[in-house]
Amino acid sequence: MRDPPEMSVTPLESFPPLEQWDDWVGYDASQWPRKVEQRFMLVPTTCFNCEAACGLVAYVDKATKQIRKLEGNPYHPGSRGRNCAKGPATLNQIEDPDRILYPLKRIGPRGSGKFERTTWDEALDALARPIRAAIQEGRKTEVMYHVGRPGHDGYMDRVLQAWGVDGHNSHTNVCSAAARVGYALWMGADRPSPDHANARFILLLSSHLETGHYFNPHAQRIIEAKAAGAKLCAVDVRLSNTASLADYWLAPWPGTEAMLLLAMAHVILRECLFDRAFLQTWVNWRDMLRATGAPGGSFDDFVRSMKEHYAYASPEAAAKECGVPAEQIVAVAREIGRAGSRFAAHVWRNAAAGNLGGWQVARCLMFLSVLVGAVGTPGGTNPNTRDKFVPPPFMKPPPQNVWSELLYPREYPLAYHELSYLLPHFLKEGRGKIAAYFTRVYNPVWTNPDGMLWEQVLRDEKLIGLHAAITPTWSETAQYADYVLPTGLGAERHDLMSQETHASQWISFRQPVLRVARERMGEHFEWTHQANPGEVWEEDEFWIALSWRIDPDGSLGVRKYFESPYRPRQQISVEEYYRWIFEQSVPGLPAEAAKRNMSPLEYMRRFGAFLVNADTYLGHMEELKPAEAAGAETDTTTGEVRKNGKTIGILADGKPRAGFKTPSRRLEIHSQTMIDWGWPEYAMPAYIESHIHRRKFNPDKGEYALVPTFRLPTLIHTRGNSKWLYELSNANPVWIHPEDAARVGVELADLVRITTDIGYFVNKVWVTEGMRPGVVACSHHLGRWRLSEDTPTHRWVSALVEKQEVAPGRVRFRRIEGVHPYESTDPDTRRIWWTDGGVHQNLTFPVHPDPVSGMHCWHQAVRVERAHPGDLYGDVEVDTNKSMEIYRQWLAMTRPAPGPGGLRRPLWLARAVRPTDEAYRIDGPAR
Amino acid sequence: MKYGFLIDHDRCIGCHACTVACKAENGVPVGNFRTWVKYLEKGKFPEIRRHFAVLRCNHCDNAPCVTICPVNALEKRPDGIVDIDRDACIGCRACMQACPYDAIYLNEDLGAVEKCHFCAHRVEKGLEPACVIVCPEQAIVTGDLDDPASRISQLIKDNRTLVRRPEQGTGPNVHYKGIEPALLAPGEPERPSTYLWSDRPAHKPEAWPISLPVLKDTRVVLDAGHRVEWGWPVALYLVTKGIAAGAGMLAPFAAALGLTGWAAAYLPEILALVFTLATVTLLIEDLARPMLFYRLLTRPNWRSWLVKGGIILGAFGAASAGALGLRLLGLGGAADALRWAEAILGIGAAGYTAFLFDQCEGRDLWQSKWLLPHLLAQAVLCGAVAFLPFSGAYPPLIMVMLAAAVVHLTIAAVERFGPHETTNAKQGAAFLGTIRIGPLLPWREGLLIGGGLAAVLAPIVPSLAFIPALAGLYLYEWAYVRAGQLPPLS
Repeated sequence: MRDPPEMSVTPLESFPPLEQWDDWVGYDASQWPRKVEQRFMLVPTTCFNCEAACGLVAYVDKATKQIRKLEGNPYHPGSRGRNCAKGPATLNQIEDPDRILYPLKRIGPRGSGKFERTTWDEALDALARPIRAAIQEGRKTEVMYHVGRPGHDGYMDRVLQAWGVDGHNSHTNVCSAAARVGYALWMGADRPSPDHANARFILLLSSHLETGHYFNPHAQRIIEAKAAGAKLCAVDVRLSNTASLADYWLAPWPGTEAMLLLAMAHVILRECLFDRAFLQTWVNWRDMLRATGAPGGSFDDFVRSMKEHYAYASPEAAAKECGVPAEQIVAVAREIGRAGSRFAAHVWRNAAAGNLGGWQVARCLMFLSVLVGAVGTPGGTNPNTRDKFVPPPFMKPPPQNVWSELLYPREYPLAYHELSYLLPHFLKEGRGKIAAYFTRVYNPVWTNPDGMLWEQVLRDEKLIGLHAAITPTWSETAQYADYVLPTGLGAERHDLMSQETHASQWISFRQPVLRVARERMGEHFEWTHQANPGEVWEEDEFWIALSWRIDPDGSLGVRKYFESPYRPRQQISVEEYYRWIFEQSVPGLPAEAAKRNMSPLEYMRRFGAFLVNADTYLGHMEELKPAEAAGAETDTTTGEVRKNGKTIGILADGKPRAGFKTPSRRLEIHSQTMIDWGWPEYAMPAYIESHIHRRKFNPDKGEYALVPTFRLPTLIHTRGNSKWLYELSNANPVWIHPEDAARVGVELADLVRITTDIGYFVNKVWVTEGMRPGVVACSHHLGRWRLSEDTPTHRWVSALVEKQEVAPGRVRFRRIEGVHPYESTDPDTRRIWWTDGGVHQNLTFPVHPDPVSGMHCWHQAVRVERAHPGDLYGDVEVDTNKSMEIYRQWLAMTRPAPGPGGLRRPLWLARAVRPTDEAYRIDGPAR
Repeated sequence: MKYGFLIDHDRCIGCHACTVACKAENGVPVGNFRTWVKYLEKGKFPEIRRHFAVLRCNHCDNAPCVTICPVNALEKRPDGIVDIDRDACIGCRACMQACPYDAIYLNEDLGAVEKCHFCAHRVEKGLEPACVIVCPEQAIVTGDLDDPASRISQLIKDNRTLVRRPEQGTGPNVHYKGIEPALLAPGEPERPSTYLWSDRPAHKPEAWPISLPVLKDTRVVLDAGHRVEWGWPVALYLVTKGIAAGAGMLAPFAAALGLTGWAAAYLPEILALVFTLATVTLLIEDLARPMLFYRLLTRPNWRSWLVKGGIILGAFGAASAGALGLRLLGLGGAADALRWAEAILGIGAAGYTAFLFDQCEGRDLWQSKWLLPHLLAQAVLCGAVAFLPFSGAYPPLIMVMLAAAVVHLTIAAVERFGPHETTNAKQGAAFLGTIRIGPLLPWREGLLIGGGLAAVLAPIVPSLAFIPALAGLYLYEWAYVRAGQLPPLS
C-alpha cells in the first residue's frame, strides 16, 4: 500500500499562486497515484472559441514544451477564472490529428480538393502580386477580407486602411444586423450591455445561460442576480436551457415577438409604471409630438399620445397574435415596472435574426428599458460603447476614400453591416469582381444561406481571382481556396480584445503561449510561427509580412504603417505593436505595471488582462468638456445644447451633458432618420408582420415555420474541431411537438423531408413537449460534410458525402458514410461511438435580406412531411435556379439610397472600417 | 476530515464545463466520463422544464467498490477520497458491478478502471478539483464534511439536499441541492432511443420492458452511456463452475448414483479438475490485464469475495486432485474420505458466487437471498447431467437431476416474478424476461431447454441430456448476468 497522503490544509485554492506561475509543480494526473511531479509554466491567453474573449491560462509542460491543459484566468475581469466547456476544449483543437500544419496550394481545378504543400514565402508572393496591382491601378474595392470570427479589435481595420482599400466584409448580416439596427436607432450604439449582476428583473430574447457570446460572463452574472432574488424571463419558441431556468418562459409564435414586447410597453404606459423624469429628459418626445402632429406640446401630451399610439398592442390583442396568455404579458410587464432602473434586457440574434422586420424586435425590447429608465443604470442596460475599450494602435492610417458597393450596396443604406451573404448574388449579377479574396475563419459555403451559390462563385476564377482561406482547420469553404493558410488557435497567436460583458471596461491579451513560455525559459524567437506547431503562423505577422511584400520599397505608402515605432524603417514585430499600445493607449496600465516593477507589456504577458475602468454607468450624464461646450447654445425649454447647427448635448440636472450618440443626443422614440431614408411608417418602434407569420401556414397541409437558428451549449460553429464537445453534441434532429408529429405521421427518430423554397433536407425528428405546436426547429450547429478524405473536414462529426449535379443548377448531397471510428495519431478516434453528425439545412435556405437591416431573416416557411420512398438520412437537394429568383423578390422590397444630401448611408450610423465622408456621397468615389 | 461535493442545482446551468474540464485534467478517453451532466425534461408544453444533474463518484463512506476490489486497488483515503491505483488494478471490473452509481469505467488503453478521484493529485498540491474551478456558476462546492463550520456543511445544514440512491447504504458524499428528484431515480423516467442533440450510446440497446412503470411526462433527454462489462465469459464461468462443483458435490455418492467402474472411481474428479481449470481460465481471460491475475494472491483484499472465492476454488481443485491422486496411488479408502471434503468445498465453489454477487451493490437483481440455493441447485443439476452418460437412466440419479431441475426452475420463476425490494431489482427482473438474442428469449428458452427438455430427455436418452441442460443453463445465465447489469444506475 502507498503512504498516507500528505494532506494540504483546506480550504483549497482555485489557482496556483501568481508568484509560482513560472514554475508550478503539479502531479502528473496520468501517472497518479504515483506521485510524478511535472513542472509547468503558466501563461495566460484569451479563448478564441466565441467572441466573449474569456481568459484562459495555459499550462505549458516545461519538459516537453507542450500545452498540457487550459484553465481559466483568475485575473480576467469578464470571465473571473471560470469558463464554459469550450475553453478547456481548446486543447482538442490544438491536438486535432486533422489540423492543418503547413501552407497548402491548390493543384488541379479550383474546388477539386487537391492540394500540395507550399511555402509561406511562395504564398505571400502570390498574394501580394494581385493586391499590389489592385492598389496601383486604383481598383481599391477588389481586395476583400471576409471574416467570420474576428477575435481582435481593430487590427484588420488598420491593415485594410493602410492598404487604402474598402474591403472589410464580415458575418454580421447572418448574425446580429437586425438587433444592431434596433439598438442603434435608439441610442447610436448598436449593441446592448446589460448589467445582469445588479438587475432585479432580466428579460432575455436569447439563451445566454447556454450559448452565444457573451455566454460565460453573462451566465455568471445572471445566476448571481437570480441568487440575489432577481427574476428571469426568457422568450424563445423552443425550450432552451435558459428558458428552463427562467421564472417565466414565453414561447410566442415566431415573428410576433415585437408585438409581445409592445404589449408589455402598453401595460407599462397604461399603468404608469414608466420613469417619468428619465423619459422627460432623455427621450426625444418633442420630436415625436412635432412629427406626428399630436395635439399639445407637453410631456403629458406625449404620454397620452403614446397610449393612443400603442393602444392596439393590448395584452389581449397580443395574446391573440402571439399565442401567449395575456396574464403572463401583464405579469412580466409589471415585473419590469417594479424592477425600474434595475431591469436588464438582451437580444442579439433570436427573433431579431429570424424575421422580416426583426430589427423592430430589438427596438421594442430597448423601448421597455427606456420606459422604466433602465439605461446606463446599475442593473439596467448600457450602450455597449460604455463597457468596451479599444485602445488605438500607433499611427492610424487615414480612412479610405472609396466605397465598395459589393459591401454596402445602395439598396441597403441602413444595413448593419456589409451585405456579406449576398456577395455571390452580387458577383453573379455583375456588380463587380474580386482580385484577391481572403476568407478568414469564415465558412460561407456551410454557414451562409444558399451555400451552393457560394460554391458556384468560389469556383469561378473570373469572379474571384485568388482565394486564400486563412484557417486553422479544414472547412467546407477551404475546399474552394487557392491557398489554405494555417493560422494559430487561441493559444497560438496575439490579439487584443475587449467586450462589453458587464458594467466595466477591460482588455484581454491573447498570446502564443508556447512562444511566451519558451522565451521565459531563455529562448528567443523572431516569429511566433517558430514556436508554433508545424508552420502555423499567427495572423498579425502574416499581415505585416504581406504588407511589406505589397509595398517592398514603401512607394505605395503602405509600408510605413508596418515599420517599427521603436526601430526606424525596420519591420515592426508583433510584440512591438502591442508594446506600443500598452505603453501609450491604455489609461492606468503603465502605472499599475510600474507598481509591480514591470513594463506594461510584461504586465499584460503576466496577467493577460487589465481592468481599465470599473465605473461605466450613466455615460449619458457625462458633462460636456469645456472645449466642446464652448460656443454652444442651450435651449432651456427643450434642454438641447446646440453648436454649429447640430445638437451636441443635453441639459440635465443643470449641466450640459454628453447624452447618447444619436442625432438628437437623446434616446430616440421617434427617428427622423427612418423618415428621411424612406421608411416613415417605421419612425417609431412598431410591429412588422414576419415573412413567416402564422397566417401563412396551415399545419394540416404540412406547412410550418422552421426556426433554424438555435445553438447547442457546447458547440463552436465550424471552427471547433473538438472531440470532447462533439461527444456531447452530435445530432441536430428536427424538434417537433407531439401533436404536429402525429399530424405528419412520424414518431421519435423517424425521417422527415423538410422542403423550403429552393430545396429540401431529410432529417430525423425529436418529438418534444419543449416546442411550440405549429413550429419546428433545428439547431444550425451540426451537419458538417466532407467531399473527400483529402480535405478531412472535422471527421469527428462530418459525413462523407457525394455531391451530384442532378440537373443544371440542381445539386444533391447524399451521405456515403456517417461518422465512424478511424485510425489516427489520437487513439480516441478509434473510440468514436456516435454515428450521426447531424444534417445540414442552410444549403436549402434562399437568402432573405431584410430591406432595412440587411439581416438574413433565417426563419423558413417549410413543408414537413414523412420522408419519401428512397429518401435517406442526410439527403440535401437544392435548386440554385430558384435562389436568384427569391433573392430578387426580397431585393425588390428595398428603398435604395441616396438619402438626404445624396448620401449612401446616414453619416451618424456606424460603418465597419469607416471611409471618408466624401465616400458616403453617392456620386463620390466608388465602384 | 472528509472531502465531499455539494452540487447546487439552483445554480447549475447544465453547460458541461465540468465534464470537459475533467476530461482535460484527467485525460479521460472518449466515450467515458468521470463526471457528466444528465438532462431530464418534465411537463407538457408550455409547463415543461429541463432539469440537470451532475453525476459522478460519491466517495462513499462504505464504498462497495473498495470492498469488492480483489487487489486493494481502490482505497478510501483518510481524507475521504476514494482513489484508484491504476497500476495495481487487474481489470476484473468487479468494482463496476459494486458501484451503485455507474461512476467507474474501464480505460481500455490501460486495462485499468478509472473514476472521479476528487482530483486527488490537485488536492495534494492544495488545489480544488478541475470541475470546481471551471464552473461558471460556482455550483460545485467542495469542503470538509466533518467540519460543521465548513461552507459545504453549512449549505447542507441550511438547505434541503438529496443524495443518490440512499437505499444502497453506501453513505454517499455528493450532496444535491435544488435537484429535480426524478433525476435521481434511474430508470423511472422514460428513455427515448435518441437524445435531444446526441445519439444515445448503444451499449444497452435493449428496449425498456413495458411492464415497468414510467414516470408521466418525464424523460431523460441527454445522458452518458455505460457499458455492460460482464458478458458471456461470466455466464460460461457460472456453467463450468457448476459442472465442477456439482461433480464434487456428488462425488461421495458416485456409486449410489449409478456410476460404476472407472467412472465411479475417477469421473467426479476428472470433471471437477477439467472444469475448475476451465473456470479459472475464463476468469483470467476475462481480466483486462490477464497477466496480472497472480495479484489476487500477492495483494489480496480479504474482504473481497473474488479473493475468497479464488481460495475456495483453489482448495476445491486441490481436494479433487488429492482424491484423484490418492486413488491412483491405490489408496481408495483415503480417496473416498477426501471426497467428503471435496463435496463440502464443492458447495463452497458453487455457492461463493452468491456472496460475490451480494457485494455487487449496483446489481440488486443479483443481491437476492435465493441466489445461494439457486447456485447449489444448478451445480447439482450440472453434476447430475454430467454423470448421466456414464450411469444410464439410473433412477436415483434421474431423481436427483429432476429435483435439481425443479428447484432451479422454481427459483428462476421466483427471481423473475416474485417480489423485489428495490426498483433496480424489479427492473432487472423485468429485463430477464424481455432481453433477446436474435429471435431467442434466452431466459425463457434457457429454462425450457435446460430444465424442461433436459428433464424429458434424461430418462429416454440419458447420454445426451447434458447437452440441453448445459446449453439451457448457459442461456439462462447469460440472461441473468446481462439483465442484472441493464437497469441504469444513474
